[in-house]
Amino acid sequence: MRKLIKKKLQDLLRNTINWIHQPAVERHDLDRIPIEPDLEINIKRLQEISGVNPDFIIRRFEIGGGIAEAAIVFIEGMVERGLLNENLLNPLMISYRPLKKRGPLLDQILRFALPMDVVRECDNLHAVIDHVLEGSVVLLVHGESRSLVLEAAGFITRTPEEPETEAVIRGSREGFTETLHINITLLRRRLKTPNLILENIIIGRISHTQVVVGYIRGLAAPKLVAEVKKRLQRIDVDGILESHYLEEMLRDQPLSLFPQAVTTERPDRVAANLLEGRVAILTDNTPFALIVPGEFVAHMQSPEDFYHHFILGTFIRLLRWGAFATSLLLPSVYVAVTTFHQEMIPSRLLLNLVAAREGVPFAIVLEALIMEVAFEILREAGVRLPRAVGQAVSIVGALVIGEAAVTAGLVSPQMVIVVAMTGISSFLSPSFDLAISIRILRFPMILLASSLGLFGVSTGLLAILIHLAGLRSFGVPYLAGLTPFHPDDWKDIITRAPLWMMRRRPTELSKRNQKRQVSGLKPEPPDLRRQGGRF
Amino acid sequence: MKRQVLLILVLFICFITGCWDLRRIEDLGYVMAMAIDRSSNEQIRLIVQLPNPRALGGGQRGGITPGASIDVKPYRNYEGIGPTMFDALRNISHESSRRLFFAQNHTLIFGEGMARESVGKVLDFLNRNVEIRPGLTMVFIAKGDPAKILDIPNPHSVVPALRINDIMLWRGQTSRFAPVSLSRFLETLSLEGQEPYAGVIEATPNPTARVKEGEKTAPQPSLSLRLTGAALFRGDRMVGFLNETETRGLLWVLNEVKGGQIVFSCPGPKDNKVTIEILRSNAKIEPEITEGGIIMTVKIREEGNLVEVEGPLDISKPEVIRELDRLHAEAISQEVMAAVYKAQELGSDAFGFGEAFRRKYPQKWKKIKKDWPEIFPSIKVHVQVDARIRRMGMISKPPLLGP
Amino acid sequence: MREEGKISALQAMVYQVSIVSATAILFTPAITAKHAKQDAWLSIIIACFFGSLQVYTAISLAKRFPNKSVVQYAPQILGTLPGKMVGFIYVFYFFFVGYFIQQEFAALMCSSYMPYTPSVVFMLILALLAAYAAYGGLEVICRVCSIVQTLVFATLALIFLLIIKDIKIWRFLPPLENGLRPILLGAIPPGGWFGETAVILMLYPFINNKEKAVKTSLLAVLILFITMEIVVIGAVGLGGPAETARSLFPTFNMARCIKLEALPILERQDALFMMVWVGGMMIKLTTFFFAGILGLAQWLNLKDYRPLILPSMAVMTALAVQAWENIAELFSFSGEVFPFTIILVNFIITGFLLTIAGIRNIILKNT
Repeated sequence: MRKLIKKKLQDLLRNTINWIHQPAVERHDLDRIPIEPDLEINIKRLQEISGVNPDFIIRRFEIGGGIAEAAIVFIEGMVERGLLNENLLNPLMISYRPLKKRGPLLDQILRFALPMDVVRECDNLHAVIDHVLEGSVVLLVHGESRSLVLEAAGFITRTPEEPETEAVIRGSREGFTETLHINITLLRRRLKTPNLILENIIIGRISHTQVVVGYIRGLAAPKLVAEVKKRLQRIDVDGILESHYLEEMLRDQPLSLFPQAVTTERPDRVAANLLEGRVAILTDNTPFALIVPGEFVAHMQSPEDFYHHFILGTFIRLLRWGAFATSLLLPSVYVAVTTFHQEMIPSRLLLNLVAAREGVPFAIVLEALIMEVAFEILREAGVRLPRAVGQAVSIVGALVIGEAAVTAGLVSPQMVIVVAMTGISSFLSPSFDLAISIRILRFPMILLASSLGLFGVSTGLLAILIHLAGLRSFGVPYLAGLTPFHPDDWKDIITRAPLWMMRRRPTELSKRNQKRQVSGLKPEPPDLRRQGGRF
Repeated sequence: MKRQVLLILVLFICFITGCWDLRRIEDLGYVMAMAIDRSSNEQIRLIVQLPNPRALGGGQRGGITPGASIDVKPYRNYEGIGPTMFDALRNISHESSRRLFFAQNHTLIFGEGMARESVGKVLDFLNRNVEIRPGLTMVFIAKGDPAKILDIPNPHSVVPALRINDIMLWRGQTSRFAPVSLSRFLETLSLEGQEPYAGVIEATPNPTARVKEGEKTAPQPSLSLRLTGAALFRGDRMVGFLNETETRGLLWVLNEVKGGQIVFSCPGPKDNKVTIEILRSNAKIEPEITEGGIIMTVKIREEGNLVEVEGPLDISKPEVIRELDRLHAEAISQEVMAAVYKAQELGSDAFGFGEAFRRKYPQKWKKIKKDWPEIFPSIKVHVQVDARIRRMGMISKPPLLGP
Repeated sequence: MREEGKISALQAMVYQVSIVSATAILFTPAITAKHAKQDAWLSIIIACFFGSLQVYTAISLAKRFPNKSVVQYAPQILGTLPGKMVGFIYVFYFFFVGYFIQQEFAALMCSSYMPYTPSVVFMLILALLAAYAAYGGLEVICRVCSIVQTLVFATLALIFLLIIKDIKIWRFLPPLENGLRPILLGAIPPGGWFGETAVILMLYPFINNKEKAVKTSLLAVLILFITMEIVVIGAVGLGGPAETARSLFPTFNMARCIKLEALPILERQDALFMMVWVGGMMIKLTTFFFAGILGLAQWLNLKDYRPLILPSMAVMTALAVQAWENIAELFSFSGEVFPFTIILVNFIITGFLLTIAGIRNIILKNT
């Protein structure tokens, strides 16, 4: 397996480099290019590969005041300057004097002259290029057919901040950043076990994006891990810029509207999911991690549910299910009831509705569609516009749509309430992806409702249900927990049971290692009687 | 791919050509009350009441003319005449700009003249129609012209139909009128040992309506809409009315008393009154066959609170309360007996004595059921009342009585 | 035969419940109360025993051929030609009930919710949904069934809770007014419906814990029994036997009769019950249709049933459209002919197969 991966990776690498430098270096050549003892040749070759890139820097100098010629290769802006100057150039050029008869020069340098922590050796040019592109510094010494790779990456990174898409009241304020190794650190800090395996895969012929597959050995089903890796390795594209590139390539059902992986910016959410036996996919250059399998229920859970009292957690979950239904159904049910099933409205409310509707020129369906589209436009505008302007736009939009349209008699006030309720409800979903699918599905539901009433709504719901029942995410049935029905999982689906009650991991995920914690954890007051009435 | 396109096309056609049953909310006329009567030429005369939503407030801001004037009448009554119910109601569509919609209807009024003849012919339509909810529609008999009753103005609950609903919600205040749901009406009609009854609705003069000269406030309406008593049926023909006291007598037996007041003279030389408010009651009919004929024993258990004492009666004493209990039970049994006598006189077994008999003696019932209309007026009815006063408000002895 | 995935005995139970419940809920009270009057609830008890007997017969037969469905082993029992004929009867039975369901569904929708919509729209939409579910295969159908069925039961329970205050015990009195005969007569149609659980004959090969199948099948009958009792008690207790028998859709009437003065918003919400019931009807059609095409594919020795879905759906809908000209015909058929038809298939033919198989077994042992 590992060999296979290695071979694949090598292929990938080779292909990529060939692709970039087709005119300069022949295919297969680079692989065979060893580092020559002659520094000049190496430098010349490197220059050929790098072309005219101004940030590709080859700095030549002499070691120990003229003992040997050497050069460092790095990319400007990817390395930490201070580190490079203090710990590499300074000792080598100024203070270091090699001793004779203490072995080859490179070994001596490694042992006496380089106060840096991670140093690797490397003996062919393609690896040199590879490391340089990742932000390392490579030291070439004349007369040596090896080189030293010094890790000195120091590019600009963002510090972990509170994730904007998943803000919480209580809980960690750290979110993932665009830098993979920071993200890994965030994850490692939460799960301090050697069983947290983070496997590295490089995807993208040009982008060379690092993708990390993370799981806990012993919890995640080996089949699942293998499947994830298999699907990742299948991906052969020129670039991966965001984790959604991966998600779209990893799906079981590519055409489905429903998200099949959980997306999150929160390391604690990833950690919690890893503990359930899921697999995380972290991608470099994006703060969004993927968690698979992402079945339906996983999209309805927020890490914050577990940071509050369980009754509040349960309440919020119920609210969330309600809001989910509202955001999918409210406009269509409103349309259906007002155009087909007027008997369902209590008399006085009905008179109210009719009074408000009188004089509104559009049919209710049209009114609903117009308002929904207007709402979507406003929402999109609010996201895209510069923050300061965005606020103004949303105020104007709300005023125009809400006040003016009603006063002008273009829409009924009830429709404004319906659309607003729908819009707000859709923000309750902890998963943005799921909210998107609901946003889209709302429109066909409105059309169905307008042509067949509640029967149409029912038809639409059944079609969605059949679709969901047939869906799988990495082999796990999409509705796992709901059906196939596992009573034990229900504690964590509709409700949020107290932590001491949730003794098992989700059934479909962790068939091997179900037990989460020991039983009998329910806290109790100390038995004062036995202790003689006091502590 | 082709198949998917085809599928989408089919669905699209469904959307486009759909909407067969679409009816826009503002295009319907919501019937809030309907009255059925015989017209002069022996046809069915249907009166429906449609509220005018805009005049009823609510969406003042919507509409072409925001804040429509309040002077607009809040409802409109339509009258349609035709040989059958459906024909009559479709006749209204020549005048009404809105399609009549009956699902919101709670009130069904039969004209007295028609009820005395027969209501059977229209019942089928009322039961068969999808929009009419028999369980939610209350049946009344109108004393007088239903069109007039449905056009009595009032400053609050301006729509008469809704006013009838509101009054009905408080029927437990006296339990002296007897609304009955259409489904119950139909059920009793189909039972062999029970006859239907219905509520009664009438227009009474409003004694408080006085317009003083030079006064600016609008005059009070000169008529009131009043729910009163009950109408008894034999089969689908109405045979007579019960007055308000007798109506409660009927409701006691039917277990429909939800509350109300009982007034009786308290012990002592003077004619002082004691008033009890009924809290809850329960009744049971126990038929018996004796040599003297069939005896029906009605057992009523009642609980009430004492709300008013006129005379100097020391009701803090348990023995006084016990005496009041006895008198109060007697008052109830008088009400029941009054109703029984009246019903026997009219020959309408609205109490379901026959049903009670059938349930207890199904085989004997088969023999006598044909003759039941003749037997019913002659059966003996005993009333056993177990009445209890539980509480007496905030004071014990009345203020007239010294310490 | 393509592997259809495995289901658990519990899922098979849900399938069995779904195959009966939707129409049984709707029509039992009227049909039973017509004969048995106030004793309709007693009829259901008798029907339940009859149903248990039928499903037990079916499962005893299925047990003899654990890896095949009845369409596959009928030729083994009876010889090729008669076996194929019997197999065809089973297959046709599933389709026949399928289009009967479509008609019943359209009858209700057209009578009570959308009178102006052509009935073919309802049949077609229901058929399309069922076809979509059938494409998913057995596992998907079972999952959809379990969710929809839960909703149906929950709604039913809710309705029952809302009307329980209006249910009067005296409407069930006197018991046994006309002796046992009407009760037995009233027990025949529900007894036939209970027998539809014999669909286990088709499902048995796909169950992965077969040892539990007997228990879960009987449990399915029990669940259906409780459901039917609820609707019968609700309908008769609310409106009396005469009104119940007169009503075409007494269970919907039950929902229409919800009356709560304290919470009038809950009145007249029967369209919501319709919504859920549409789901129930959809899974009912799906279960029959799936059993039908599965059987048909086996009967034709096809590897996969999926190519059959659309053509057979089209044929079925066409049959549904042309059959039964008016609702009176449909209802008298459903009360007087239909039960005997399904009893013939589910009980008599199944029992016959079981007997022959038993005799064969004895003969085989003796020789």
